[in-house]
Amino acid sequence: MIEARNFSITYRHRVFKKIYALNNVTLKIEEGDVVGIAGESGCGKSTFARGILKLFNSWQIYSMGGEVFVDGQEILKEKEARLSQIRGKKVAMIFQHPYLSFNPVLKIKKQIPAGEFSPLQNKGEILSQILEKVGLEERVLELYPHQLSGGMLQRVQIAGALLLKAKVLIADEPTSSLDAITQKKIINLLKKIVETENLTLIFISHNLRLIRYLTKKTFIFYGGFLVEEGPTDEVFENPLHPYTKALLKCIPEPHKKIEPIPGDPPDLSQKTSKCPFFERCYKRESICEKFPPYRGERRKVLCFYPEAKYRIENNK
Amino acid sequence: MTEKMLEVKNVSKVYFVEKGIFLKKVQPKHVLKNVSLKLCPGEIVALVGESGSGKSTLAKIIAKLEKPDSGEVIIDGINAQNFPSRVYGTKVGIVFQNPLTSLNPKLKVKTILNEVIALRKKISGDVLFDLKTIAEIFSLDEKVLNAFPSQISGGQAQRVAIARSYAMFPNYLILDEVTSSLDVSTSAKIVKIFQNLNREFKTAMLFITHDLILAGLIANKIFVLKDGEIVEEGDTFKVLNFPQNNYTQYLKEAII
Repeated sequence: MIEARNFSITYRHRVFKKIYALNNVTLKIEEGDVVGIAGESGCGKSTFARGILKLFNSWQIYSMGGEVFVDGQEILKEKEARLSQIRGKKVAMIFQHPYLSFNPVLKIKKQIPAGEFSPLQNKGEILSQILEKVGLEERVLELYPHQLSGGMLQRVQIAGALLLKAKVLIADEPTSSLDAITQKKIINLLKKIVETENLTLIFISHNLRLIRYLTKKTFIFYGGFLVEEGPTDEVFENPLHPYTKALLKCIPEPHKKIEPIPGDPPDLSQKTSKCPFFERCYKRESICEKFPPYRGERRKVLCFYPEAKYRIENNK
Repeated sequence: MTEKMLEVKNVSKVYFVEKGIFLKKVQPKHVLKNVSLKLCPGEIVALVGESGSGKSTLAKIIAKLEKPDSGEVIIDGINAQNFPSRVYGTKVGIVFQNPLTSLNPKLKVKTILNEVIALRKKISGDVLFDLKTIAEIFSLDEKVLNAFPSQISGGQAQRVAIARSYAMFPNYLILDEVTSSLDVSTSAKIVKIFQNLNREFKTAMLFITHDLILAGLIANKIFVLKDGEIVEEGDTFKVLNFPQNNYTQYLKEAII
């Protein structure tokens, strides 16, 4: 469904000239997968999501490399006009800030896409069915964005994706500006919609609890690199990369000591030839000064010395 | 001799919401209704509630940024309104959710912190923390100190904002959703700093959050706020494991 091969993005920057936001990411997302992308701020999660739809201004980009396929169609070299057939229609996106995602001077009904209806279908009927699915009343159509709450606007964004019958839904931190109760409602809605509509969901979040609750497969990003992937349960129960291990210790849990990762996230303006996690890793060795391979079958990891269990399984 | 503590006594606050095209229809909105709470030295108290429950208004009232309509805030036995605002800074510090809007974009981090350190010296005459100690406590390196707020990351900016409040060495620290805009690892770092400050300097903290798990991890006591009223209070372990109120139960169910 979605496949990235050696996908790299370098941003232009006023001071640092180049920001290496995404480096050689190779991954594959099958149809019907519910995947999560996790990592710290600035690890390239959102850049990757935007890259799938090529949602950039040309002045932002210094260079873009590799290939991205959506439904077998190459995205990066495609012309803008052709991309509009994919944006929203095949792949829909839900953004983080509900109030920034809508035009403040237009009513909601003008902002949700009309979609393609066969002449036999009644547009109003479909609209009301979809609004019911996402748990909204029809009166919201007549309102302006500032009259709705953050949670309601996120529901409107989901309704928009359903109207266009998108097969893939990318949710980029859809709940991080909502409070805990609304967050759970939206997450449960996403879960329900994905199951009933048979969608592929790419869920991006720094909240690892949500990733564990919602997704079946997890990708962990660090400093623009994909460092680990695997089925969510296995990644959370038996993390292979030292970074994943450290990240999981940061999740607040009752009656457990919180252990922050020492040091700061890497400087993205310099290209690294070492392992990206070298500076902060607790078990680094001299070999880690070289760039590690990304290897594995079902679970992949970017490390010379992944946790012991993995090495026994793979006879390394 | 009065006991040393921060006490909020029966505080109420009404906002008037203007409605209609010409903003003429004025509707009262009761944001806080007879809220009382106590914060003793060395304690970390969590205040939890949904958006719009009045958490931030209470924080602003305690920090004297808003006046309560009725009731009072008493610090170490003296009414907050009787403190000169400079001295009040050495008693109560406040940190807000968004660090980038609370730091002056035109000043270097170093200057921001030095200003506060100088102010503290002027008020009390002693230097408790110099720039070096502050930078060490909040793990701010030379690069961050010489940067402008727009050049540092959100987590670093939040650490600077907390450091700025802390440079006044307040007895009570009000933390209004300080970790909600940060990712897991940076918020873990900041939570760790709070735990260290509480252990070493016995600073009392009012930790305002909507994250019940984080509240359970950091606080000794919890207050649950709903529509401007405190519906449940007590020991963290008791409140989280055996909630008496339906609303607390409801909040607990929202934990994923």
